[in-house]
Amino acid sequence: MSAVALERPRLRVVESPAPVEAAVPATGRRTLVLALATALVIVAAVFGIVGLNAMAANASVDARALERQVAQAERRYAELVAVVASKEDPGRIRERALELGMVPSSAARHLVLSRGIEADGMRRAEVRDSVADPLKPVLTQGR
Amino acid sequence: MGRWRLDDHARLSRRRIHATFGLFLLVFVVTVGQLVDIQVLSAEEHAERGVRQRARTIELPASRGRIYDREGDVLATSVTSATIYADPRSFVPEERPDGLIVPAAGDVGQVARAVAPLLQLDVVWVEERLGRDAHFVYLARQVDLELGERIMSLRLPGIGMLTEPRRVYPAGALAAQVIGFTGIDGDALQGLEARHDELLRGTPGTLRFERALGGLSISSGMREVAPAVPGLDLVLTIDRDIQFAAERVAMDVIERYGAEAATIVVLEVGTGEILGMASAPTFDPADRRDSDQASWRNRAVTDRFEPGSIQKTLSIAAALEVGAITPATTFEVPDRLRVADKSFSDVSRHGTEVWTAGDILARSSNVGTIMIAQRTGEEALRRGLIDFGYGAPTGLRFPGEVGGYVPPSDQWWATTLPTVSIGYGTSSTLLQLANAYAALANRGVLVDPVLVRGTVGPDGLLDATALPQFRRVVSETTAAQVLDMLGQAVEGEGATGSRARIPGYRVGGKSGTAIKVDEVAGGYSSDFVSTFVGVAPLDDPRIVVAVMVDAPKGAHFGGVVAAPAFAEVMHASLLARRIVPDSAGRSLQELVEDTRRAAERAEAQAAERAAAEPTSGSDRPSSTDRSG
Repeated sequence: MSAVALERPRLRVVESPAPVEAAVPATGRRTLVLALATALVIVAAVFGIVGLNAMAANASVDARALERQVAQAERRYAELVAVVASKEDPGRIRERALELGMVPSSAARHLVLSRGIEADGMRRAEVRDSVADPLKPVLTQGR
Repeated sequence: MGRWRLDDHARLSRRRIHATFGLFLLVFVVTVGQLVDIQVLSAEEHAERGVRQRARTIELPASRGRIYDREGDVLATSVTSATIYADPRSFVPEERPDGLIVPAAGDVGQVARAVAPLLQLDVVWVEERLGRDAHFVYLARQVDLELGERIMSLRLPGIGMLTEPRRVYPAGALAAQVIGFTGIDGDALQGLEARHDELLRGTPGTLRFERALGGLSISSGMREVAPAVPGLDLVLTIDRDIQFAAERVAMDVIERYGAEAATIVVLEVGTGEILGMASAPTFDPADRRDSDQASWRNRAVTDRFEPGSIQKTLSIAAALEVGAITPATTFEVPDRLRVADKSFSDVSRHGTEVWTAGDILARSSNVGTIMIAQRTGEEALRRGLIDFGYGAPTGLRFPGEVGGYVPPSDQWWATTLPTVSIGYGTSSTLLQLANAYAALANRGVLVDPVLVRGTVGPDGLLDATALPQFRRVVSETTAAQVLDMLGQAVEGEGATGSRARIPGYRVGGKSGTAIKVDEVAGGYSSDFVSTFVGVAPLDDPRIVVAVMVDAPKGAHFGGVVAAPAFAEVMHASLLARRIVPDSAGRSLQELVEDTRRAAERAEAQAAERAAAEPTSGSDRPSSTDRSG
């Protein structure tokens, strides 16, 4: 046995590292918060995306429904234009007038207006704010 | 020993790490390689494949433009219609490749009996269609959409519906030859529909959308719309009321004289605008299955004929223009004249008369006109006719338009001059004749006729067509002198055009009666072509009307057959265009006073009648009373 081996080690009081005890729970909380925040963000993002998608789909369905309505209205308008034109057919009107006992006029009376009207060839620029037939768009512009 | 183990273990670990790394690297390289291939090298092919799998493209048909008359009244438009089809194979049990038997969708007889009466079809015919070995047969095309929806609401097995645009002509046969028509598939076939098809038909659009496995569209998926560009609307120069009047009169003339056909042209002086162009007999463009194809022709531009006496006006205009005669120049006109080996005579016998050009025109003297033409000379006469638009199409470019004929200079023989001067040996269309008279009414300036005022696009603005070509053909003086003679030919004593008079208006015009060429046998037939062309009001001409009656029976003189038709159409045209009579100009107060006096007279008459009637019996007037 050597002298060194016989020498007793000197004892000293070692203070427990208090901060170590406090650091462990703090890290855990931070991780937890981080995890919760991440989960929240992910959930929010998922819900957000799904929600936006649902809103877009809803808007798209609405848009298509409106498009269908517009198409239907246009179709109906075209049908009505044809119906009005057929009702205005001079042949039909003449036939109906004869059925009602009317006869062709033997003489026409003529009035000479002091102001020109479009139908007589007066230019639109000279007849301001004139109201054209709304059923005949051709007449409303640039004639 | 322990050391070896340690080294060996470390080496093994490193190898594993290297192998794993290598594996990952390989996977990475392969992945990147695939990515490069998919995203860069074959990107287009993969994108197309993806689109093919998900996307569907539908063609959006362009709506065909409408055709309006000059006042904006619709003459042709398109509506959505239903086409009913069937899948005949669905009525037969089918064995699928996997051995499963698909039962028949329904009973053919039951379905036929349900659908046939609604479509006004024969049940047997429908059964035959449903019994065919096919996946698709039409049952009815372009029926009313409401009817189609009603049939679909029955939920009949094997029956389906498509929507198709259908061309409709709301005024029926009105201006049918001018407007023309489209086929069932929308192809333009005749008339202005064909002439302006490029403007009317528009450009189809496309709709691309994503669809799910079952074919349903994905609401939130891709949706690309390239909207169809609708065709332009066409605004014609035709006036619907004038057109109607012209067609009605043309039909009346045919019925009254048993004629083969009648054609009427109404032109506006100065603008060249065609207000009416009627051909009878006519047809309904919406139902032309049983119509004679000859009735589809717009005879005013497709049919040429020897004009006869109405050409005398142009012969005299040519003579005045070159100074060969003046209105005061007189001729000693016998009723018969021999030129070379041919004898020409007037219709009615008369002694040798001293007549001016105006007298000659009023009496429609063949001999007198030939004497004038002999002073004019061949080349001046030929040149005059060509200047008036003979020998070439009018510039309207209407499908099937012909140009007429004037003999070339080297084919004028001794009898050509007299023959041509009285309207034989040449030919023209009725529109050419009307336009030549319009040139005289327009102070000697010929304007190419116009049938389209312009187009209307989505902005609703009328884009007017280019102004028509115009050129002077005779001097203003010549035109005025000829117009005066035309007035004489209607208003003068013994004038051939006396039946063309219209109360309140001064009218000028010329009748014509030509022997009709037999196009099959050659030479002349026993039929006639009766014509009348005139202008009104004579002092300030606004409208030209030309009438041609083909092969009338009984009466055949233009002054008898065509002149009254002219008067009726001209009167209707003057009223429709709001052209006041020459005798107009009365104040509103005078008119109101007139009307008041007329009402008082009517009241007095009614009171007298009431006093004269017996008090007993019915107080209702008899049918004979009403005629009084």
